[in-house]
Amino acid sequence: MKQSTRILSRRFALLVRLGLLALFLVLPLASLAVMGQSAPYTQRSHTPWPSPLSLLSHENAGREALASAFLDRLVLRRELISWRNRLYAPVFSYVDTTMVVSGKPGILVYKPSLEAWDCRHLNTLQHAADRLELILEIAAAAEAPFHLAIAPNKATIEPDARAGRARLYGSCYEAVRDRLEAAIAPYDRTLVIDHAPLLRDLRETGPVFRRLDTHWTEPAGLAAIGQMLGRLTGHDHQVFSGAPVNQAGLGGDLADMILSPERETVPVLNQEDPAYTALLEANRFSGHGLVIHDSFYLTNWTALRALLPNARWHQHWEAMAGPEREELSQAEFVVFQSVERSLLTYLGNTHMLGWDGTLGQWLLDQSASAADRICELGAASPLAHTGPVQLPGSNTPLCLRVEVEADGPARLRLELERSGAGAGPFGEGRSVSWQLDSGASLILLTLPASMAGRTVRLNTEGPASITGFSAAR
Amino acid sequence: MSFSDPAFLFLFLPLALILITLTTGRWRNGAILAASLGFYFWGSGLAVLILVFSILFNWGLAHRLAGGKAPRLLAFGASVNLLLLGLFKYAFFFAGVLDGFTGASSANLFMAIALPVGISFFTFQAVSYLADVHRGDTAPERDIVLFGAYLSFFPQLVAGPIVRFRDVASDYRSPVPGLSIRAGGAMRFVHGLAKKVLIADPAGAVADACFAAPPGELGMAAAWLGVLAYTIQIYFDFSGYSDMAIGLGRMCGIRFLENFERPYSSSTLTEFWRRWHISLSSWFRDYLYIPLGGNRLSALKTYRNLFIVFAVTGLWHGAAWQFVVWGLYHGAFLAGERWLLKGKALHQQTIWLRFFYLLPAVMVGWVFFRADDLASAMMYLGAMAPAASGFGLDPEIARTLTGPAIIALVAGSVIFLLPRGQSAGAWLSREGTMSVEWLKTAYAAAALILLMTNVLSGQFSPFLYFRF
Repeated sequence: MKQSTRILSRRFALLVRLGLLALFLVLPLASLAVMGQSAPYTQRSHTPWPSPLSLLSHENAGREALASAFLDRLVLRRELISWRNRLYAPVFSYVDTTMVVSGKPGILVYKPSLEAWDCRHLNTLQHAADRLELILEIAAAAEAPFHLAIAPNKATIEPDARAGRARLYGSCYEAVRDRLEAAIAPYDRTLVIDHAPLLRDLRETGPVFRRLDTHWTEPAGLAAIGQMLGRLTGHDHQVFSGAPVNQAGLGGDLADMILSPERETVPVLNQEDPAYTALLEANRFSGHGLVIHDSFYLTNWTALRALLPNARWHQHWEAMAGPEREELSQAEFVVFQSVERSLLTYLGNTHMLGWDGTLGQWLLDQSASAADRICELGAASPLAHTGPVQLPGSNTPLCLRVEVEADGPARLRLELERSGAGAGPFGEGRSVSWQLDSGASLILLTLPASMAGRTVRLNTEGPASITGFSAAR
Repeated sequence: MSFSDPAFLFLFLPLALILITLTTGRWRNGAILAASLGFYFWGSGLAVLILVFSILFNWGLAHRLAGGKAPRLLAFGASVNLLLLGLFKYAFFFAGVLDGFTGASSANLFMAIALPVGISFFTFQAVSYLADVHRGDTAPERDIVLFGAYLSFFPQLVAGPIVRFRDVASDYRSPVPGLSIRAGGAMRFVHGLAKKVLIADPAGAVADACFAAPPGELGMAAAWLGVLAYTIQIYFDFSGYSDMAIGLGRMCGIRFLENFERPYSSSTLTEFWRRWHISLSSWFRDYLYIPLGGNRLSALKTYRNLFIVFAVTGLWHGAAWQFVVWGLYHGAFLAGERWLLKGKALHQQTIWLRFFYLLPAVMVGWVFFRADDLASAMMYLGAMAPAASGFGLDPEIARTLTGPAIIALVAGSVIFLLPRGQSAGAWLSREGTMSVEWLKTAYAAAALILLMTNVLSGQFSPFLYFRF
């Protein structure tokens, strides 16, 4: 009897083990079937289900999309993320996820945004800062109706929050901020709308960032939008800092994901107050433009729509390729808004701000039009070699004309000497490149007066040769 | 598709196991073949055609090789398999070497060739099958579906172990029945997944940070920490994968031989190679070392054979010089041990040898294995030297020492300390008292909760051995 009980008990234990594994394997699928889809995190959308045909393709993008779409929709996943972080925080006394790290007790900050979150990739950082500087130089020389609005990191405005675990990232925050500031400083009052000084001022009077979220508060966001509007209209819109405010308990994705569904009391705009509606009404700007933004401007989405009723809107994650070329050419102004932590990652060639992106190409079109308009460029001289060419001295913008003959798809690359001391006269970030089709191409570019007397290098990739080059004031 | 990828665990595997479990007889092997080709297609697209070609070619050729006939045909068959491997894995490397002498740029021709996942594993299985059929160690398989199921079986397709047909043919013909073996397989799978997700991955993050340090910025303590973390990562990653493969095999009624037997408990490198990636080292022993003459010829030729085998072993792991150097480094130790010890220390459980000889030697070897190239490996080894810069950890590395990473490093280090005869895998496989059985069940439950949390909420990380 005892023997048979032991056998039965053993069989039961084995069955339990098999059952546990079976449960583990089917639970996510079963949870989707029983509990349905989870709501997407705020300001995000689920990966769309791929088409059945894409699952049969040689490329595995469709199959990867299927896996992402499945994971995105799991209520179980959301619960586990929250559960894990709620467990980790008390056990390890800090939170350190791939994106967010805990700072001063009760405060979360975003990690400095660098390649693989590793601050040692300073070459990549320098490259990105060089590229940003060059984009601004070209936009300024072309007098393009372009504005770069930068929402600061919480860690920039509240350096005291970088305590605890976040202290380990301190040098990284500084490295990113230093390079960013160096790149934008010459354009601080023209092309660049840096919201950091405004938020530092506002912080004197109250909280401008949420504790358990890395975004600014609604009143701080509205003040920042006022600053942007001021740059577009040329009027002072600081009145927004006096908008009617209430206190409200807010949850949020980040709190859900990282710590707990705790609700924090934060100042919110009192949208029911007639004074608020009147404020928006009085500051309405009817210009037709384009605003490309991230979740920071989205914090005040209703106000933004009311203040700029004729503007068109693009969110970074919805339109990585950027707006249509036609949309850009019709815009009276283009605002590209990004949070500080992401800006330097948006500059690769294929991103919308890169030279192959629609915004990058629009800037090059603006530059070419300006060259046609402001310079007297004669016929190009044959270019005997592809070595460095010294540009003429000038105190006005300079224009370049390059003639290229291509036998197939190719690229033209122009490297520009950097100003001041750097890692070397040329750098990967200090280059502009154009895609070339077969046949003859004419490239025009306007450069700022600061490039006068400096050198440029031209080279081609693919079956192309430079047939002429000239530079003029 | 990695075994710790949510798509594998929660989409592919349930469907594949249901399909395989519900079928019997010849249909069962058909189900295994279909699931395996689907698995390969999911991750590698049309590269699945290479696998299909390998199945058809080797199955067809084997029938002409039976009974030691046509040795030239065996050479042809092995050459076709190895040429395929050479084209996809080594063409770029060897063309680059050639270009170094000639100044040409022929390597560019091969630059765009993508390495089909697992080609090193299924090619070696195919060659061993042809050789065994030729030697008469196994009969050529008549059933192409069974042979296809063997060569492509998804648990061991992309990262081993290298399974020989003669060892598993009977299980494909009549799968081992029984609740015990299936539950044991499930336990083994869970244990392997836990080794990978809970220990190898967090330890790997520390190793990655140390090995990514720019030249000259790595202190001695960080360098040793990095190599310790990598020593833990590679063992738990690879042996974890083998555990999962063995476990999945058993759940399907197919028994694979063990691939790891506590290699870090060895006293010498000779013993280490009898415990580390056993299916690969025994493959090289049987199909390269012994055909070269093994140790039956002069001492000098034995040493030559050792160096050849280990150079090829290194190259098998990757088409780059650092792997060749890693292989030769191990070959030199084995030759040295053969000369000095004459096998005396092989079975001694000397803790001193383990800590002051075996582990430092293996860890230094891992630097070649992990570094991006030979120059980086040499710089890293320089940083490990006592004269190198201070003991402090820079913030980039200190950051990776998160709670889970510290737990993983501490738990992983236990593997260096345990007596040779004790292993968690063996404990889990052994039948114990009822309380022990329930303890194992509790371990499985706890591990599965942690795994579900980590796999669903964490970052995906591929297995190291997928690249070979």
